[in-house]
Amino acid sequence: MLDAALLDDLAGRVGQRWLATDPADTANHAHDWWPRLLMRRRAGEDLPVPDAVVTPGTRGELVEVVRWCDANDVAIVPFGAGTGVCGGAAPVAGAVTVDLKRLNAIGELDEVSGTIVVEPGVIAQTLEDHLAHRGWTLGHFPSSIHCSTMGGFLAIRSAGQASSFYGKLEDMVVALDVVLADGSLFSTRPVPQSAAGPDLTRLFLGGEGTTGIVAGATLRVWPAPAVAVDRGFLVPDVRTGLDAIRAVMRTGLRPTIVRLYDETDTALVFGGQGLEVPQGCLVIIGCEGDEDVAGFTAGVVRRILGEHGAEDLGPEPGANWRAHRHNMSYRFAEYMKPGGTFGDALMLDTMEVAGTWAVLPGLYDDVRAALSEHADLVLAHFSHVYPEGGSIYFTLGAVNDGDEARALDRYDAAWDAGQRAALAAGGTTSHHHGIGLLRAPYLREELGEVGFDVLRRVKDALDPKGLLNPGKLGLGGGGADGA
Amino acid sequence: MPEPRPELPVVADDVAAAAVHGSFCPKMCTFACPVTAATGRDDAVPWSFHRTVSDLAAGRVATDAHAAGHLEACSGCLACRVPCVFDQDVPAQVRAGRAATRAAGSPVRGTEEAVAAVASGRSPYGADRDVEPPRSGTVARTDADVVVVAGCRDDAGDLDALTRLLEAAGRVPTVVVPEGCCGAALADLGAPAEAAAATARLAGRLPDVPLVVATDPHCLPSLRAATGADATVTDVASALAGLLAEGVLRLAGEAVRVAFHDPCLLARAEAVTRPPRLLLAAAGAEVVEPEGHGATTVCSGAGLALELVAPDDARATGEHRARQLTATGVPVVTACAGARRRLADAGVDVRDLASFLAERLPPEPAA
Ligand SMILES: Cc1cc2nc3c(=O)[nH]c(=O)nc-3n(C[C@H](O)[C@H](O)[C@H](O)COP(=O)(O)OP(=O)(O)OC[C@H]3O[C@@H](n4cnc5c(N)ncnc54)[C@H](O)[C@@H]3O)c2cc1C
Ligand code: SF4
Repeated sequence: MLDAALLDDLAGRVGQRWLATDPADTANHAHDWWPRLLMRRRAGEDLPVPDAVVTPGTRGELVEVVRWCDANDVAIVPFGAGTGVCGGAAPVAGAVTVDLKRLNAIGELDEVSGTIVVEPGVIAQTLEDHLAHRGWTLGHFPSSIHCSTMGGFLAIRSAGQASSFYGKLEDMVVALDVVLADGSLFSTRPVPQSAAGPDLTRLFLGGEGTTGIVAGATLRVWPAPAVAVDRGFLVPDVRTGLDAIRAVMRTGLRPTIVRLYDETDTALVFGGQGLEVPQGCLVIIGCEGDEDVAGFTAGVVRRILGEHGAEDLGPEPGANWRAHRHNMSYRFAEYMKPGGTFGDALMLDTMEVAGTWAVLPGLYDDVRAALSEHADLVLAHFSHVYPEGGSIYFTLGAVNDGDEARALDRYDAAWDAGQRAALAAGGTTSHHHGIGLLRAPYLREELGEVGFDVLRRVKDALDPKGLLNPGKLGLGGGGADGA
Repeated sequence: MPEPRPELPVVADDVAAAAVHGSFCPKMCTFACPVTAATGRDDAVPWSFHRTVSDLAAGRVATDAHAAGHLEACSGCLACRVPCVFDQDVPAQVRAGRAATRAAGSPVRGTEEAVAAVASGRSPYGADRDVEPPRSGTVARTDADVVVVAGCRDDAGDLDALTRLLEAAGRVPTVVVPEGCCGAALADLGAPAEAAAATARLAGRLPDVPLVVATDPHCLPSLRAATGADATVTDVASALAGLLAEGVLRLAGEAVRVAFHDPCLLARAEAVTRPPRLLLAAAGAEVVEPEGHGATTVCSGAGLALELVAPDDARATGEHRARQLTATGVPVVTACAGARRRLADAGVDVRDLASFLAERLPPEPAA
């Protein structure tokens, strides 16, 4: 427990109103959106709450808070919107949770350079709406765009649905401002590219708050596309679909949306609309930009898909996807709540892995088989593709007829099996959700002994007292409650 | 789930069930919430109200000042309802939560003062917000065919303008200034019994006419409760647009550019977004659309008694909206007395729709 007199002192940095210590006032920060924590909450467990939640209102106050924590050896858990799915923002005993939502200014749009400056607490859709009103886009469209902060997204190396054209969020970062563990402010220079030594920005993207607190970013933005040309196709199986998509990416053209659904997911997409479920796998490809560019790209896509024996389903599947692209996120509550659609104690999560083209088919088979050992339903789509490979987004669910303990057991077993299968198949354990507490057991194997040691040394150098988000990324310390 | 405590305050089962549901939603409408955007308060995120109300209903948290504190930062603007695929009514849950904490002795801030003010016939918003009666000739007319019910944040000039417009269209308006409140603000504060009593008092004073016009869209639900089934209760923009369509209201004016601030409840609860634009166009105005308009308008902080419960947050919300409106570079017109006051307080050059239009009535022919 943090000492009350000490906390009074902290309150002096931000104002009493912005420091909460009563458990009734810190309960909102007891969990993020890691389904395992939600399942525990649903089971009636009182999740541990943070000892204190502090909400700085300016960058200066954030620096003050971090300096105070450093001076008093108090650990910090950065908290954006608490919608991370790996327990990264889960409280740590004896730590202060630092809520960053008040740092939510959107700075100048530089229309000459095509950049915009944002604070970490900006909700991504708010930024997109701001840009859209001015005729621009960031191009970052994750399913959680309505609820997650830019700081959280940067901290976990997020990816949006248009990543095949715009890249992952980390690819859009022109410059980054970070508050280090001792309270000093580190800012990288807003330049398009540089060869001035290693790219230090990368020490913080994916750091999940363990290496520093993102206090601002300059991001690359684009004029909003004039048109979107979407088309659906049906291919006989996953492998044909992968071959076709790879061939598209090899042309050097970049559709914005590329999605390949496996048979089970395809059945869900068609069945969910009350349509007859076809044999095969659905592919949706969206091409955006000026009319001539999008039209040309869409023409090449059609030709290549045709050469792979795909049936052209026309624009409807794409239009339908756009109209309902966030539906699964909204529907989460319907399934997860007590007495949800599939009864009490549903186990439900997603696992996104990635690999090169050569690895992808085997990665898909192996992870799917591993998850299926423990889950009743496993479905997948491939939704972020790059010239050298792509990611697979698995959804796993299991009905447990009210037995919450069984749900947790199956959850743990499925995750363990799935993550180990991904590593064994030569993939990465996470394409865009990050590590947090959930994947901490697998990061050492992912990075290798030497790689993990490099991470450890970076962490020790940047945060010698181990005060920044202890326990996350498997870096030890903090007694974070991930059990 | 833990056993509910026996002394639980009452949150209706359907409200509690909706709150439980929402408490497992991944905060999907956060982006839409103007109070969250303006204040950064974590407990302004609509999800937080679901959590607080579901925990109150299940007895997982004490019904005390802490819980009441987490039921402050909502302006009732229904922005969260637009993206929500479950059509959740977050303000209804906030009202229920506020009523529960008040019943347990922990009302949200400002409640008892507002209740006392209304009991003594004054505005719940304080003495400086009492409505001045408009021109005496329009009050308590017995030959009226339209009743204009003043909101508790109206001003006499805007009321006057509205009655002049109605008269110009051949109607005979009479103005009713409620004793204190129509009940809406008290319901918002979690005082449902006092709200019902205020609505009943107003009902007793409403003359039996076919058309009732509310100057403040926040009053519409109470006015509907207060009037008989035969009367049509509507807002200023819809009433005037109806007269425009009938051809009995004529407007003319110099070409001018204005931005229209859609009042939240008008745009979202009533789906009224075209009528004010038709009226402005008829009066010669070109409407510049600000960031956030129509169904996705951004709140000025005028609803759910936010200015009483959390004045700083109401101010921040108004200032947030003011920045979007002033970015248009043109004067602003709105159709809600509460919004007009909040925006004016935030430094916006803002006019009431009726006042703007009344200045564009063609001159009366010389007798
Ligand atoms: C329904 C749903 C759909 C999702 N879809 C996607 C998707 O399509 N793509 C995707 O990439 N992700 C997706 N996610 C995951 C989620 O959006 C991301 O994890 C996002 O980063 C969470 O943002 P947040 O603001 O809630 O961060 P939090 O959950 O609050 O924090 C996430 C991590 O970042 C750290 N952190 C937060 N802010 C900062 C900061 N300023 N500086 C340093 N560290 C910080 C926290 O300590 C924590 O470790 C989805 C989540 C949900 C619930
Ligand atoms: S109002 Fe709807 S979208 Fe918003 S938190 Fe509640 S359930 Fe989710």
